[in-house]
Amino acid sequence: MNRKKVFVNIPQLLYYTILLIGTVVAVFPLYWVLASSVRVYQELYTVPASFFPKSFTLRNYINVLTYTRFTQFFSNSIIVSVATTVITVAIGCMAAYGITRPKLRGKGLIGKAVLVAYMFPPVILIIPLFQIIAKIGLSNTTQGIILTYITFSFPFCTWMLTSYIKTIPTSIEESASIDGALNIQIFFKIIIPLIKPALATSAIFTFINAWNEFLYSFVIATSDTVRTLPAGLYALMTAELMDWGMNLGWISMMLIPSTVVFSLISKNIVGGLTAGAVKG
Amino acid sequence: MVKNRQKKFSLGQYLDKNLGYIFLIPGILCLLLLVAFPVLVTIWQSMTNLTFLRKSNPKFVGLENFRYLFKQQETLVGLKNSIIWTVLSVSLQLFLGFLFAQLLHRITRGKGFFRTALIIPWTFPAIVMAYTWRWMLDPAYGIINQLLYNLGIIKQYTAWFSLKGSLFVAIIMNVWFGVPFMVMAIYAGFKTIPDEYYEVAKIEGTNYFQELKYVTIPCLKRIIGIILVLRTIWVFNNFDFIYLTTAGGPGYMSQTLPIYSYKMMWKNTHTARASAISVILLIFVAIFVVLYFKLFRVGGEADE
Repeated sequence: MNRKKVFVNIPQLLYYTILLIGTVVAVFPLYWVLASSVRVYQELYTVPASFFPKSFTLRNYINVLTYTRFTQFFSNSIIVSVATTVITVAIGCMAAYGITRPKLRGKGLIGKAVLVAYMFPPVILIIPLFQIIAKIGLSNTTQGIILTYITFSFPFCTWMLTSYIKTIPTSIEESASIDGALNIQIFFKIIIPLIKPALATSAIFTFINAWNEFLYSFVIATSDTVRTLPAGLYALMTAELMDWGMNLGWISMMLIPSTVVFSLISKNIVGGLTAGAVKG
Repeated sequence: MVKNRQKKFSLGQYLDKNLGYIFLIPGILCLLLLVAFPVLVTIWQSMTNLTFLRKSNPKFVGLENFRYLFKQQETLVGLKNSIIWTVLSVSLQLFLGFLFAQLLHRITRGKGFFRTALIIPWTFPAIVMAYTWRWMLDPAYGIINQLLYNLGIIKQYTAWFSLKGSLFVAIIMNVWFGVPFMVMAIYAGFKTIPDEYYEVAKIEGTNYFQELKYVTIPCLKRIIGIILVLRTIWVFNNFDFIYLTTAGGPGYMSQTLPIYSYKMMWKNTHTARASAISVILLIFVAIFVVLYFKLFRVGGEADE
């Protein structure tokens, strides 16, 4: 309590000023994209630009939906992200159970392997994965993209769930086991319900990561029928007739869902990413 | 009842007893087939003469590719840029992250508001962020050009991502993106420090820097260490941010090793040399991974 009294007025004022500057820098790009995306063509290309839009139009959004394959890419993105999430969470919670629960030999090693895989950068894996996927005939397919996405989502998901399961006391399971419950029953009836919050967080995070991923999709997908939103946007931006209006409309439509969802679960993600770092 | 069941379903019982192992199978398969095997392929290919044109019967050439790479100016520039990019980005992210986390911890009202606002950059998908910054820095219509021009800081509108020093512009963007994660992680750490520690420090009559040295840093050492290593690996290997803004240009002046590897593969179609660059990246990652385990002993059983 004493501490609070010490920092009266002047320090607090300073803190708020610096925080406010930080906030403006953090939020301004979001504002600027959204505010630019609703300007009419002439205003968008006016110098100097006004801080608040003088015109309001949804033309850019409509153009994106009409003249580009946004909806197609959107559904591709949904398919890839949902499939990645379902597969990852399923394999992830099974693996997390295997690592934490029964007394297994070598589970520490597997836990470490998962962590190493989590630190593995896509840019190293993309070259061999591209070749392997071509060999098994999955280049330029949705399945091929999903396969590459598992490489980064599975380790994260497993790591997060592992650290969560560790916090659950084993006593409930032990008593269930004495009562004759099978391990599989314990898994579905006790573990799964208890780790639901962690499952939800890792599912959402996996979905967002898959939704945002650029490099793998860009390399694996070579046709519009397979491309996801980021790869589609890249194609639009590198097209000869590049129009900022459409780009901004596209960007905004990708950004809004991502920002809303991410903001809601960001707190839990920090816990997941730094699992084991903060104890208590 | 229980005994009965055990006799009836002996195979089922056996499987159930080993459920842990069975549940690990898909995960281990994923790791082996999608991570370990590709890494081995990369290491093997880095020592062959494989290219897009010479697909079959690659010849083993030993360390020839590495010898070639280290003779190229482009490799040395890539290495230098990678180090600048990583060290500057991560240290600025950490500094600002620590600053804002501490401010967030110290203010009395509106923590929720600032927390939500400060997290915004982190919610940007990489490609959206890259294009947002390209729009703000547009040589003809960019708002940042307008602002700097009006303030008299620049004499004329500038194509920031095509400058000789465009790497530094990308670093600013990367710092903007990376601070929120640092803030949130360190802020979570601050909340675990008991207030009494500071009260004792106060009684002892410490100043801010002494408090930092004897209370804050020791308490946050672990969390800061972990995010530092994770961030370093992540930033070092980042491909999207630079590729989507400067594309490594002008020339290869802002090119980092990941971009170089990508270009070697898909522009020069030289699989073997691209793999060799990957191996160089791999060595860096390996060093950091070892460091991580040595310093913090997290993951697996060591976590207990």
